[in-house]
Amino acid sequence: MIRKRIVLGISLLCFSILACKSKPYSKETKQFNQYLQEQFGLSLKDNKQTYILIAKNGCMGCMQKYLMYISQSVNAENIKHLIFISSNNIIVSEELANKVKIYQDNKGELDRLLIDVVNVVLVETENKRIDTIRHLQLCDTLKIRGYLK
Amino acid sequence: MKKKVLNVLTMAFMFVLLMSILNNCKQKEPFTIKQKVCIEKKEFSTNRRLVFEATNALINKDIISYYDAKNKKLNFSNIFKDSIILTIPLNTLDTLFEKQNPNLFFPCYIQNFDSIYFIDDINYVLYRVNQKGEIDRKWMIDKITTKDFYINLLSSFSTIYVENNLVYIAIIKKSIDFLDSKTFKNTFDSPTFLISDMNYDTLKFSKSCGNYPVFYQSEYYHSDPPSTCIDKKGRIVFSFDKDNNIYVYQKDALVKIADAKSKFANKFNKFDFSKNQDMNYLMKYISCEARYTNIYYDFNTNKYYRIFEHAMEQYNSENKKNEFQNKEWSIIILDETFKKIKEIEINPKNYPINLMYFLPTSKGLLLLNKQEKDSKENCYSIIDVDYD
Repeated sequence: MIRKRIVLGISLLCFSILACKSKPYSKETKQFNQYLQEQFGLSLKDNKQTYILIAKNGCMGCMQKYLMYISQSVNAENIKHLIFISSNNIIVSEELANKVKIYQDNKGELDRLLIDVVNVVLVETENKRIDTIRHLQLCDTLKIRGYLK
Repeated sequence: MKKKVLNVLTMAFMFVLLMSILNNCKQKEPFTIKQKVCIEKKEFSTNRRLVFEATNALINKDIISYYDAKNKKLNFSNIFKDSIILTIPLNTLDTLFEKQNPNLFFPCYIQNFDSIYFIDDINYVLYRVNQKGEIDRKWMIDKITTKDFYINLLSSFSTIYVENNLVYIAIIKKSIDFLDSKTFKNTFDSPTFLISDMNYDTLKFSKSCGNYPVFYQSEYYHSDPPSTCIDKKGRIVFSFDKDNNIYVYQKDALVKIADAKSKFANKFNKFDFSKNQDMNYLMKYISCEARYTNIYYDFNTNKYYRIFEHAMEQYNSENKKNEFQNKEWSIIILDETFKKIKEIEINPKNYPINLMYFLPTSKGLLLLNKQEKDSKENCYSIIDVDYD
């Protein structure tokens, strides 16, 4: 009888912990989806997508470097899954702007999201959810091609 | 009927009482707005403007200076009249700088209209330009006495001062390696200005001033070089970002350490050196931590003003990042003996943080009002601080 109670207690505890623990990036997903809808009439899709978010603030030299690598990594294959959003109207090179469509956020709402957009951030989504958030660092530049595959 | 009138009167009384309570509860500004001034926005050359703006406080006769990059001219105009009162052509100097110096920064010190000093940090030359725009004297900067330092061009504050035939140049020690936490001790064991006699054609820097506070050698705060101002007596006042005290130098002698602590200052959080490559951490630290920034001297009232940016949460209750310009800030006012006489809180909703914070003028302190995004003019309030 006592053993049964202990098992029941542990099960209940595990269930409560699991129920309380929200899925990763749930708050970020909700806010980002709302942002996409309000600013651009977009929404997160079921298929895999990568959002390239370009902040207003950050290290300008680093951002130029990331965007140069990103620009070199864009090809006919991956371009369908890449969505560029920028709140910075000086950093994007003409080369990149001619290659891809860039959604311009003139209000700077991008920089206020929970995703903590600084420099350039890659947000990978699938099944209408955020899967991964990559805050690019200088040591990541060589990995960019892989991230955008 | 009588009862009805009584009811109406009671209601009216209650309404007046409520309004009066609400009015008293509303936060009042700790100053009086004397006048509002709106000036049409001008196109400036961006980077060079920073350096010129930093010298405005030194002229302090309600005159601002700005560099017209297109026409290579240095303009002086009255803040309140918005008219150019003097233009100095800088063709000779600008051509020289464009050719030899790829740096966009143009540190200068305006001693008076006929003595304007420019520093060329590539070729290590100091120029003096007169009202006609001619270089009337130049000095070579000795490379031996400056070999351990960079000239601090990136400071948003003054880089050069000239006073009593001495030149003061802001510097940064070369030793910091951002991958090695042991090196910062060495960097902050250093003065922030070098001093040289101007009697000779080569400036040899045998003296210095503005040493970093000793605790900067053991505690890392990702600090900027100090903000400085020069007063009527030729004293330079140093304000370091995480130090409650200010330091007053007469030439190379430290003549006073004064308590200029903000009532909003608590213990400052240290910067985690191991995260100095993490831009998100860095941005959060810079935008959200409390710090002292600019210090000004008011030639009109003989007072010193020190700015304190209050600590701020990174996100608001709606999970949106708080914007830097909406950080709360205050002005600590010190009298001529460096005694704190008042601290006024500035409401960022009306006066958001901007590069200059404010400007002391003969009519009072000039604060930039919150701007509409597409507005074609900048509007300012001239305020009178209530000292009672």
